[in-house]
Amino acid sequence: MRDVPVGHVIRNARRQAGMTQTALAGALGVSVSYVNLIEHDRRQVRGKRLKDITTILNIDPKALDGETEARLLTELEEVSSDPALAGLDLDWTQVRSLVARYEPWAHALVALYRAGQRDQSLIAAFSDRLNHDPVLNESIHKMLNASTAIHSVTTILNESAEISAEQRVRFDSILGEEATRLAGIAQSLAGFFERNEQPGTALTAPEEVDEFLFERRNYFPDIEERIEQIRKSLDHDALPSTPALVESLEEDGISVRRLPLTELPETAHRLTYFDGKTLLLAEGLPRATERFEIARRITGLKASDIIEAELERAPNLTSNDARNRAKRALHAYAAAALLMPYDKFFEATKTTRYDIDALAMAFNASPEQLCHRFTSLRRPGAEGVPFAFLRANAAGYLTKRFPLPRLPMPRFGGACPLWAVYAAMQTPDLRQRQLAEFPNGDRFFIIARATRPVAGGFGKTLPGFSLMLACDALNADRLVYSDGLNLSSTAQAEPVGPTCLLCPREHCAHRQEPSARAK
Amino acid sequence: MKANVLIAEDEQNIAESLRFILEQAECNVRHATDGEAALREARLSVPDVLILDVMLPSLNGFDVLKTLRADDALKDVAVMVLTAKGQSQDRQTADALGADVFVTKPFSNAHIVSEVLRLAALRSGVSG
Repeated sequence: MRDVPVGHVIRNARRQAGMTQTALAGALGVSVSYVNLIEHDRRQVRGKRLKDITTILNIDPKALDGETEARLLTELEEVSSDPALAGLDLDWTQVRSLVARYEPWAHALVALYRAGQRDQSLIAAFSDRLNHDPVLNESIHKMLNASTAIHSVTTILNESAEISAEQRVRFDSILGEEATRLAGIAQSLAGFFERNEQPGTALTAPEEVDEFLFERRNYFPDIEERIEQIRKSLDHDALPSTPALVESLEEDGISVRRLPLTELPETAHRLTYFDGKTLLLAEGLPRATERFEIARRITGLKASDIIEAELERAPNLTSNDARNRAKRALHAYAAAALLMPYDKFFEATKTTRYDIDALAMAFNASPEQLCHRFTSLRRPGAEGVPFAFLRANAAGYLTKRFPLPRLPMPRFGGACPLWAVYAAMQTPDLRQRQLAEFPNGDRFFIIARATRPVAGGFGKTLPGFSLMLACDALNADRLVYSDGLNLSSTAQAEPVGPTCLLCPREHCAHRQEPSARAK
Repeated sequence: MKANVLIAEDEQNIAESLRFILEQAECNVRHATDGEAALREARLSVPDVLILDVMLPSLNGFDVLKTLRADDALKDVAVMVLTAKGQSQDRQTADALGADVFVTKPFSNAHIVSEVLRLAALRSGVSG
């Protein structure tokens, strides 16, 4: 496991508390030089000593868990792998010092890098548009024709001696016509670009939402509290049944109807349709999906204000698109909280050891809903296993990503083809498990499973996905799926990487592109 | 002997300027505004040179060229392909279909005239 520099947090907290190193050493019962080593990240603190430091300096334990620093290191590793920096011979130990001593500058570097990436993708998108956009192609064609006529006629007027007065008048009129036409084309082009103007942000909307969820550790106590009130108001101590959920909606004036697929409106999304007064569900929709859709409408009615308040506290969601995406994510979060109440769900994860099939039966939930809920079990004092969650589509593209600080995940496209999320696609319904070792020595336990598409009819199929959960190998024994595996630090693990570009395993048979880290 | 030129161009103003400069160069000029009309005109009286715009209504320039080259009576017509796009793909297609000259818009009047006269002279050499 890579050591993470958190000494600067201790040093800053000590200074803020007005304590000397000597005083802290005395309170901890260690030598002054040992405190000095800790503050300069030359000794890692864990366990009781870490707890003592947080108590003495009144630091939130989360500030010392190293998650922010670990993520920053991962991001800086990605920065340093950029081919544009090849040849600078960047010294990795200096990166640790940068994070330890000048963390804001490290964040600035990452922010600039992301802004550069964003600009590159915008340039690529614009270039693609210039080459293929039908409106632009048509405009350019017209412009070239108009300028051809103007150029040719001007040459005639300037260079032809034998031109009659009548012809001269005609050519003058052509010039006028084409000049007017050219002006019209220029105006429509200006309008086209104005319509397509986008505000410049360093991150795409999905990335902003990823950041938002990561910063909040995908745990929203205010939403949990509100949902708990709603659940109690349903007058069910146990899990809300589907009839109880429907009844709740109907009390609020929303009817729920199940219809044959062919009778759903053409615009129905994911085999459901909601017009504000009626929720239409395709007959045969999986129960878990049906319950989730109903729950989502309930939280839409009863928790919108609390979700809006969360969004108000998220200034980094800069675009309307990002805010709308975040809103949808929080409504889905709230629906999951309603169907899988925190305390009951947390207890069940411990009892079943995260057995997805057992939990799916107990909570009438789908594997994807369960995986999402696992990542939100972050309440202090009742924290579940910290998981990374991924969802990949049939093309291998990562369509959902919730990272762990030490588990690098590609920002764009696909990941290392050796991750179990891809192997799972070849064996739908069978769960894959993998003890994976990354090039830096970090080990993760991974489980993955592909879901089959839900056939709603020709052209109306809900796509299948491959889902992956990953946790630190140290937590693997808390999962039923690790049973029978040798999890010791010397056990054989499958060597994987983050992406080909970032992976130094030069001779990997799965390599698709050269490594930027190869020397 | 005057060169017979057929212009297949749907842009009226470009066609007019082409007709003017070619008539100044002592060519006999006819004009068709779409692909089917161009083939009709060519069959009516076989031209020495066809100036063929790519983006034509009804039948585009490449279809006209393909038909021309497959027709024994028309296969020897010298063809100058005109395009407003000028992309390498268009040039490759024109070459593959047997165009003699490829010109991108905006063009130079002098270049058009000299190329048309050159093609016509070559053709009269072939036929004569």
